[in-house]
Amino acid sequence: MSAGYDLYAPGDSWLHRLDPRVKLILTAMAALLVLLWSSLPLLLAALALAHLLLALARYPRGLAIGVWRALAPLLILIVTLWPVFDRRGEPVLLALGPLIVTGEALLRGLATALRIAALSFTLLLWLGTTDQRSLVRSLVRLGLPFSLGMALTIGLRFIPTFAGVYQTVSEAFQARGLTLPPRGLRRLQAMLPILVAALVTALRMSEQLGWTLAARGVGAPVRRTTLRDLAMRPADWLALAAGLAAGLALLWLTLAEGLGRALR
Amino acid sequence: MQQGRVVRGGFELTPRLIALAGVMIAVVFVATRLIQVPIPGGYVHLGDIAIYFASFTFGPLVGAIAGALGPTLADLSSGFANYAPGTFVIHGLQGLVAGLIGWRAGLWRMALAGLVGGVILVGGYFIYDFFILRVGTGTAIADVWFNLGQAATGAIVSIPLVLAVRKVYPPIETWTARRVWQEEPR
Repeated sequence: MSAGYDLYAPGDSWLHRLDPRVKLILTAMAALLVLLWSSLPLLLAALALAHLLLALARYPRGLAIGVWRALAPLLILIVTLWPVFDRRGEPVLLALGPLIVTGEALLRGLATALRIAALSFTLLLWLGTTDQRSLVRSLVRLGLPFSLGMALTIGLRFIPTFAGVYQTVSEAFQARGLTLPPRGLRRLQAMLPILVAALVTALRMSEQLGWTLAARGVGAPVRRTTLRDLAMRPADWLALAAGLAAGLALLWLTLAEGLGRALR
Repeated sequence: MQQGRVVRGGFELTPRLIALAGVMIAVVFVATRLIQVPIPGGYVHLGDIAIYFASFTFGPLVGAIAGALGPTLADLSSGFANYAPGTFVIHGLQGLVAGLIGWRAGLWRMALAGLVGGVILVGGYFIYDFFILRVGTGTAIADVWFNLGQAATGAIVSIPLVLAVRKVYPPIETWTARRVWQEEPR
């Protein structure tokens, strides 16, 4: 995937250097905790911690702002619609016929929006600091079948290629007089010939790629070797142990003691 | 002299299917993230059309892989990582079931596959929104409307697309067929 299609930012920070499997495991643990929490201060702290770690990893501010921009419509929708459907709590801030808005419902909506944002930025710690090759390799080392890992790698590699093919075909059709209506089902209907031509081009590419893979022994029943494999360093083991210990402790506190379950 | 017969295949990842699945992941990603059509009150993306295309043309395995991974990558790369686990399961299931029902099928079976896939899509996201992300009733219902539009567009547009591609590029009909060769008795 080329720049513009993903959120990875190259760098040399400790977060970039951390083994991708460790990052994936710790991110999954953090995401589970965030999903379980409803507490406004705790979710705010998780969001602030994610931003702090991103800043320490020198993650570009522009990309982080881009994520906020993408999330904004969903977050606004949650904060706006939550009080309409949730009439619990006090004080009543607005009573307009069947519409009753309470202060507690507003805070619940805000906490939900914070949970979604915290979840997204927690996952960004993994996605934003792990390049695609390491990401796929870590998934394969964690149990994803090699053939699926290979398909995923091909998919990531072909995204700019297919985007380019679609763009070229679309421009060629329009240069030959195809007019695309601005919106609606008519536009979709007019796009059909473009889609057909772009798909056939992509499928021809996949046919050649399939022959290349077969010629290079993919699918042969032998044990595969790799040129560059992932290796856990002492710092990775330390980060995994410390992160898992902290995560499991927080999980135990959440499930057994009710940490983060209350709104405030 | 050898004699060959073609059997219905597509349940194992041969090199050709690996390449096909990879390219279809890219197609679904581009259709989801980059090809969006404005409609009154919002927009629809073409991701579901691409998933149904993969399922109806290449079967449940390629449909499930492209369906699970293409939109998940789109979610992960656009800031909606919170939806990625749900997307992986829901669209993967949609591609799998659509492929099981509508693979190399005629118009009516493809329409049925589109309907069942739509139910999985709309119901799946409602459950994920409401019970996993707990975004609230209002947002979950708003999402149902968006997904209904997606499901309907996917089913309606993918069928003529599949029929057109089958017509202009007939070799794809045999791509997921496994060839078994038997020696002729002497």
